[in-house]
Amino acid sequence: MSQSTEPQQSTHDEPEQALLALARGGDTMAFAALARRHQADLLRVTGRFVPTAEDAEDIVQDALVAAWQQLGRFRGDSSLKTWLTRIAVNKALKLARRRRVEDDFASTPSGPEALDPDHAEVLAVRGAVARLPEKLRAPVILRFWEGMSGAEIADVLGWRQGTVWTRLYRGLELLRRELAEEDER
Amino acid sequence: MKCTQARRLMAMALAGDTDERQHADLDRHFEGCPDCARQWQDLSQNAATVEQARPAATETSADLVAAATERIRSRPRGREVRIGWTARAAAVALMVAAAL
Repeated sequence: MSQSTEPQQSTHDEPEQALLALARGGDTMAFAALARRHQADLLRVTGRFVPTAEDAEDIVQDALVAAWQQLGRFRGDSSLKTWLTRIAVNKALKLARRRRVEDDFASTPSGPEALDPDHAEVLAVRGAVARLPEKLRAPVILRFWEGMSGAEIADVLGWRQGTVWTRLYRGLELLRRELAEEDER
Repeated sequence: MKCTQARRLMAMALAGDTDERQHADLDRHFEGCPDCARQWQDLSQNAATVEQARPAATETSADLVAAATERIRSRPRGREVRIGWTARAAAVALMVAAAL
């Protein structure tokens, strides 16, 4: 920690472990400083799973509140970013379970987009991804839309790495069949 | 390499978890196995199609951290846990009372 003769560090510059210790002790400013470091990443990941920006914003807020409540249980086995991402992704999957979000993803475009066959294909792919069973959808999204490795996906979803490999393979095979069937229609 | 091993390696490769040696092993297998080679081509092509359909990253001007912090301050940590224990204790008391 800085001595009294050195300039005072703001929470913006504090190392993560120091902020974590303060946050565990009940310091909401320290927690906010940590959360701010990860807000953009959390919003981006969450936005891959739900159809609207408002849904993603609500989930990130809920995830941060849940993280604060559960901070005592965070043992540091994974990075804080991974732990926060796990909470946010679980909440996004829960929302998708409650609603049929694939309908929103694959909604028919209106205006000039409706005439663009490339855009129609993109929507068809997003719809097919959203229709995948949850256990196949999550690794497909984290791998191909978030660029995570199998090891990172295993950490976020709390699965074994081998399970990620199998489900990613099965997810892509299922997508291939679904999209081929759509082409034939 | 057997086709079952090749499929395992293909799954690892899709996840980005293979090294150069494993890629070379797969390439050698594909040279002698057109079925696996076709399967890999289909999967790779499909992976690229999914990547190209990636939705735009969600961005916001809202201060989500400030909103979450406000909620945190209005609801002290551990409150849910205490309510949970109270509810459980009440449930046990009711069961004991019913048993008596």
